[in-house]
Amino acid sequence: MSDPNETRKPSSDFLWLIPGLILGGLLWFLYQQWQAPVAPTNPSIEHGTWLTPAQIIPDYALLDHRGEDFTPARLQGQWTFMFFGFTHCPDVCPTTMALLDNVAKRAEKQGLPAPQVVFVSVDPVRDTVEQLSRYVPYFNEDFIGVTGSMVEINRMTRNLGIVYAYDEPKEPGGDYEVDHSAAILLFNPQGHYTAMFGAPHSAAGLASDYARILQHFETK
Amino acid sequence: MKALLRLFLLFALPFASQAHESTLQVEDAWVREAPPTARVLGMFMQLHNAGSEELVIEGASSPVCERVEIHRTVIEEGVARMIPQEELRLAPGQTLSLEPGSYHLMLIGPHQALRAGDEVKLLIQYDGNHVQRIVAPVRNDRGGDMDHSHHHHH
Repeated sequence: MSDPNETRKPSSDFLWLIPGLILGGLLWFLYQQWQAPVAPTNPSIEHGTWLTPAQIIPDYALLDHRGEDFTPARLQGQWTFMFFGFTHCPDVCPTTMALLDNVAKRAEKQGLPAPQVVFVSVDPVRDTVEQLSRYVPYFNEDFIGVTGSMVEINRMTRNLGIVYAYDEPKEPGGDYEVDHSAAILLFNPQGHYTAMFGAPHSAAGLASDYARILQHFETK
Repeated sequence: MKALLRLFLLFALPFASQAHESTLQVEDAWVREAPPTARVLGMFMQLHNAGSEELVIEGASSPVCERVEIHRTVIEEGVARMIPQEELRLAPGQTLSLEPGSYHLMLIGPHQALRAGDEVKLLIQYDGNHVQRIVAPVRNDRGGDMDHSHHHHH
């Protein structure tokens, strides 16, 4: 009743799997190859460092210069340049804010969508919502100033590698300086941190990198 | 004889003091317009020592603000830091550029908001009791070419 050949049948079935697997593997490999140009290669930027993968920043709850909530959701839907400073800063901050205004204007001139620009205060004790409301729009009406509690500012900055330190005021209660990271950070339209531009900055350099990045993701 | 000495002094003294006064040359001075609520403003210029000896700038003051400090911005490992300078020393023939991102004067506590087009008087104290008086315009540097790389060719 039982055919002795029957016992060999499962193993011959198994043998058929091998070319099947090879074919499958080959198809998978070809599919990957075909996918490769579409998969996110990095845009070649000249004035900053591209981060792969882009970093997802944990939640934070801050306020903008109009008193409205500023959370990671506000970074979604457009590219965002972010800079950290304080409004009592006489040199680096106004220089960088004017430079970012220049970058935005260069982008518009090239017919590109202007990036969102966010100035985050690392001196929230002096930089109230009201103080920011009289500082940030001076440089550009569309710029957003951000402040909040020290805890929330820390929560945001420590994940971005942004550091700052306060100098001792000369007299008690007097004005003090804040040392702070001078980098400009770029967030992609998913709201993820994707590039870092170190100081000293150049408006022309930043604008050309911004154009490259947009072009790269447009042709993808 | 007395008259001759008087005549000599009349000509020689102003000349002597003039000779020293002119060792410090200040050019391209300007104050950067800031948001109206700004508590500090940056001031920039070219300082040149036209004399044959070292020149020491000890400080400055202005009627437009509470006080003026000399500062230098440095960026170390990505962190911007302001370093107050007690004085600025200029070797004979040296030109020191006070410019954004480097040496600058800080006008602290302006008595009123300064707008582009306003003029700022500044007294620069140097070499003990010498004073150089300058007048500088307030300028708005937004919208211009902010690429600083070409500023270094001065």
